[in-house]
Amino acid sequence: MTFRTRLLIAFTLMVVFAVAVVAWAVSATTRRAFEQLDAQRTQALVAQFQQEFARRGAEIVRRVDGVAETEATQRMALKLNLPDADVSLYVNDATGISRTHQLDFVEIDNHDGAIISSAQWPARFGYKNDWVTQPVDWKARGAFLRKEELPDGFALALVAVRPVAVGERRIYIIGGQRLDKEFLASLVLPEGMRALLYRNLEQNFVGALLTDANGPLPQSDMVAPLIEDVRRLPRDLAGQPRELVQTIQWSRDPASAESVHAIPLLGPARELLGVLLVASSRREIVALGSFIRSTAFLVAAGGILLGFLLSWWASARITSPVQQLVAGAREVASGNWHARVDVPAGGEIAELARAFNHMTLQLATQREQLVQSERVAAWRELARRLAHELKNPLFPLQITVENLQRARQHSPGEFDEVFRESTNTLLAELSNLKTIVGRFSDFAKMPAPDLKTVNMNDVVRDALRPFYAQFTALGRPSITPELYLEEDIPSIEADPDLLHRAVQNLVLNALDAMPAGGTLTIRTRPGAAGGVLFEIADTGAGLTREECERLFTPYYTTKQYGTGLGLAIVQSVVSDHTAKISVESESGHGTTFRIEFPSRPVPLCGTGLAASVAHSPEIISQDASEIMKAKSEVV
Amino acid sequence: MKRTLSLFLAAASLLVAQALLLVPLAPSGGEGSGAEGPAPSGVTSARASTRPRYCGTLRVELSARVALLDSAEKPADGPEAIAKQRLLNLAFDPLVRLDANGQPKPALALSWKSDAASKRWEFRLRPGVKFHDGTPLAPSDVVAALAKERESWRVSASGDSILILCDEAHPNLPFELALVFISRRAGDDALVGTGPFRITSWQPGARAVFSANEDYWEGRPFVDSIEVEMGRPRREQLLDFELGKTDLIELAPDQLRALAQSGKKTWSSAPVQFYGLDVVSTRFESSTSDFRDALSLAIDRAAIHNVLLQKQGEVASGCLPQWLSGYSFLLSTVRNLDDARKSLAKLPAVLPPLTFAYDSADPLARAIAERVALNAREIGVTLQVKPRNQLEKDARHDIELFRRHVGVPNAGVAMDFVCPSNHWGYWAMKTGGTEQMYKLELDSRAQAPYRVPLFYLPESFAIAARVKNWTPFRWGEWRLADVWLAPDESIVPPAPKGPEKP
Repeated sequence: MTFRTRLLIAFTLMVVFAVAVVAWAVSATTRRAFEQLDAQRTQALVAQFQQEFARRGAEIVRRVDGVAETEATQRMALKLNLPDADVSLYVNDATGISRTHQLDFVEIDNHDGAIISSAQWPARFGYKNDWVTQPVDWKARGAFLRKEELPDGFALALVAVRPVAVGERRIYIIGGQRLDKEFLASLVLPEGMRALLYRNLEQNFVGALLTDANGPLPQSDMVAPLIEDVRRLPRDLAGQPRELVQTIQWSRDPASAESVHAIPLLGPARELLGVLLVASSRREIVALGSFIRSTAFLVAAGGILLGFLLSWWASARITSPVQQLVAGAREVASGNWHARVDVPAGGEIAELARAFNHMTLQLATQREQLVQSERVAAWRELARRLAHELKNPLFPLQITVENLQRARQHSPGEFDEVFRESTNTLLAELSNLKTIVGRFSDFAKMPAPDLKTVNMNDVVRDALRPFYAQFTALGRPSITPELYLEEDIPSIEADPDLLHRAVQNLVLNALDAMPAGGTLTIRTRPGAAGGVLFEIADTGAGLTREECERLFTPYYTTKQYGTGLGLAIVQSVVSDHTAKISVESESGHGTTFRIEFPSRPVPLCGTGLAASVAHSPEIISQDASEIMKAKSEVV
Repeated sequence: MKRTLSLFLAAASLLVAQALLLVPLAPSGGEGSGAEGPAPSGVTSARASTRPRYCGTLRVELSARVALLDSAEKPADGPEAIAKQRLLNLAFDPLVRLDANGQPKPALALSWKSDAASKRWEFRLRPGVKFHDGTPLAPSDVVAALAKERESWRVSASGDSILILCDEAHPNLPFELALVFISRRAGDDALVGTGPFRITSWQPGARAVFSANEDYWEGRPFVDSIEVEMGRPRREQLLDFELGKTDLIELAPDQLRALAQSGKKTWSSAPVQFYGLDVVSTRFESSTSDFRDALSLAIDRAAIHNVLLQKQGEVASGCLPQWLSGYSFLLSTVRNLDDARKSLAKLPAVLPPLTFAYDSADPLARAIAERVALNAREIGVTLQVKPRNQLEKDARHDIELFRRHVGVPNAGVAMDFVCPSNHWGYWAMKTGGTEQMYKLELDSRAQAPYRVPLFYLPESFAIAARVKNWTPFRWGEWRLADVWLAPDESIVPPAPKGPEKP
């Protein structure tokens, strides 16, 4: 992962984190603000509902007052004051009153609480309502809740009591309305609000007792915990349980949620008779929250995108000099010693760029100096080698010619014999000189590879064929060749002549390394990626570390009569085929050369030095290649 | 002087004549127990209101709905059965009718006789009687009608007589035949009878129109037609009556009291409607009698009688009202919760809630049922009051509130009517009299069906002032063929149009 990518990721993460934190903070703050607004709205609605509830209570009181003040009621009260009053005359009056005054419940009780007439339960006449004769100022008391007994069970009613006192005995008019779905439906409620009623008429929660304006609530179980909480609530000193607020989401849709205020409804004895649930829809706030969330997401996405772009731009600005440095370094590595980078305005990166430019300048200078010195050294070495190589034959030539000059003083017979021997010697030394010159010439004339499809085993066998006579020549220590040529090696693209020369040079090198005889082992086997691995090993004395390091240097030899060009030629062939050569040697245990040929040579891009760096495992061979190149120029 | 005297006498005669023309007669005291309304003055009106007239339409409203006016189709007990009997009486005739004393008198049968065992009865048909479609009444028509009525009767025609052979003694057969109406199917498959009125319009359960039978063998009825509105709640009936939209309505006990106090003309029969409870549940097994006793002792009949029934009728202690049995006062109806609880304690297990069915067509039934349930709750018995028509099809109720009509003013026959399972009423009355009836009724209490008598209520009606000669029988049977209508003087003819002359 590049520095720029890392920087971009770091910047982006930072931006995302910052945007997320800001979005969360804004969302939380907004939500809190809206929650407060919603709470205030719900409180206002609840207050409005309570006013409506109180108004309905007052309406019931007004109606019961109306019943009590009618002439018929007054007349009834008057007649019931008479001795032997016949209450049966009025047994159906409550039913008529309930119709005319639109009251669900109407009872007319006698002075002792005995029911004279009951609209809701006509058959209940004669039974007593003891509670109505309690010392209560009914006139001052408004409507209150009551658990009303009916033939088919109980009902919750909002009732009012008004005594009618015409004579000594008073009668009581009890009127009320049933708290049920019709009552809820008749309430005037603000939009987005609805009222539910739980009639606490059983010991445990019963879903059927929960109703709204449309009837029993199908999802009553969802309200059960709230109702149970209200039932368990301790009453405060005034006997009034606190109101509870809970948010109930009726379906998976968050917009179905409602803020439900549970208002306990208490009876005269402070008993819990019902729970009024004022539900305020959260649809609007949910929609608003959703809008804010969507907007926040959009803003956050935009912020992140903008942050990403800014991060990209900033990282680009920051990493651009570094990338230039990297590019410059790569150019230097690829041989362009004159690579330079732009120096930014200031800062550490500018210092680094200046240092890089300075470094490359120094490197180029030092390289020039090194090449110059290497070139001089190579010329010196070439001169030394040439002098050495040429001096050896020249000395016999000089001796032979001096012998010839001295032989002129001898007899003709002796002169002829000396002459014959001297000319032979001269011819031999000249031939030797010619050979030396030919070798140098051959090295200078290394041709460009002519690639063909080649089987390495064939090349090895062809190259070895001239040497079999030497392996078993009389008077010479025996060399045992051992060939391990795998037949299933792939064919490669190579110049067979160059490979032939390289193999022969390596064989010659091995033979020279085993003057006392030994075993020459040659192996071929499939290499990596369709290539071929060639290995040749001798059982000679081996090489020291220093010898190994200089092994491929041209004209470097450990042999008395070697030119030092054999392995240089091998290195040249290896380099031309973009192969890899390595040497493994241990003093006293022989030396092994391994060459790994690719299936086809990789086209060299850039300079030869770059290719050499890319394909040669030994750095020493690179320097040697340079030196060899310089020397080949001389040749 | 003589001339002056003559003139005075002439003037006096004129005044008397004018007074005779303008001043109405006082209403006849024999028409019901209610009071007539104030009569308009004027000699002309007085004459018109006291003289029977063959005209007018009598308008009647009933709370029950009669679906089918066929004597052979007998509805269950209750308001529909009583209303149907009344309408059948208009269009059809029985062989025998009952007179004001409750004794059989000839109707389609001129005379009858039986053998000593009361198993073979012979009824001689009245000659010259015609059905409403003009065909004469034939013995075969009577045979067909009677054969449908009771399968155990072997009915045959013998000349102009009808022979009825019974397997068992039927000494009360004429009383039973007083409730069997003779009809036949006309060509259009419509039922036709021989009664005083013919059916001219029939909307099942809603409305019926009867027109006078001009060829009625007992003479044409006075009114031209009778319009009957069915299914009218009693409150609306009263409203229509107050508005003058109807002439004859039924009254609930409280309505009767209020209407009577307002001076309207009302009439009440003797207590003929028997309210009682039948414990039909089998869950009590051998203790059903104890449960019945507990329930009977728990019911506060006096309160119901005084308040709900407005002191109409009487508390029933037996199956017959006092005026028929003569011994009902001997049976106790005093409420005793302690004894009720003791009887209840004899039951083997705690009672579950019991289903208590009542007839929703009877407006009084619900109030009585709810009060009974309230009383029962005081001894720990829970009764779930439900209208019979709201019970599920196969659901069985435990207790039933029934209402039955006495039908005939004969104790023995009435006993068999209101307690059809007894079958001993007439025989006991004839053989042992009241004492035997009393004894048998006491004995029957220990046997099924386990019945709790509650009340005997009269039937009450309000009659418009223009309805004359309203003389129903004491047991509630109407005689609308004898009714005639006074001219309605409240109807003012429209004034002639045109410019008013100075």
